[in-house]
Amino acid sequence: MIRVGVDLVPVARVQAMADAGDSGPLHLMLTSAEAELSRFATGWDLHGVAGRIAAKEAVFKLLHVADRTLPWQSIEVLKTTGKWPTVRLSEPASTWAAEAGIEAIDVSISHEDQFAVAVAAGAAGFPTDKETFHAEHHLVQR
Amino acid sequence: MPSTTSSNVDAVRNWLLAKHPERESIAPDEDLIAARFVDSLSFVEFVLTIEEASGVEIDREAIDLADFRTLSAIQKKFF
Repeated sequence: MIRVGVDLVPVARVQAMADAGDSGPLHLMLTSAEAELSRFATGWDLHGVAGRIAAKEAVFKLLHVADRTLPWQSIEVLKTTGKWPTVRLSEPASTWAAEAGIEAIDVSISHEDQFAVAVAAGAAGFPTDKETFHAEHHLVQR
Repeated sequence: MPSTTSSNVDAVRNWLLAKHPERESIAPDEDLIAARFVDSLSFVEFVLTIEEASGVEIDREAIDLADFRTLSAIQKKFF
């Protein structure tokens, strides 16, 4: 089963968080490695931050974890040497992915003037019973 | 010890209302997440606001959403 997640982040919301300075939320939402990738010499790369946050949210959505908040520090969106975004999970997200049978996650990010969007995809080795029911229910609809 | 006055949870209420000028009030038992007062992007700021108002440091690895769903629940847990 393929899992997907998508998220859209307005750049204006990132701007508001950046305006809060070092006591604001961005330092809690980005790891140090992500923050290093998300800064220009003059300050935050707002579109880069928005895209990275959207990607984290998209990954969290595909994990299908109920009643938990997004563990910002455990879903990292970094860059490969080819500059493509790549995902690195740590606890608790890595356990959630393992429980879903997801061995790899890929993300794609795009941004325009006011928004950033990200899609995450992963292959789950086994669906939960509930998700199987919904999928079968959908398939038999005519 | 955290304060037990309602004025501190009012600081949380005021923060939420400032983010949502279309609303004039929030009922103590209104579901803040279902009503979209708080979403995943603003949840970190929400937690920081509760920490600042209550003086309680919140363990982000052990968050139970039920403690954050309503102003009543927030007051009971953190104030």
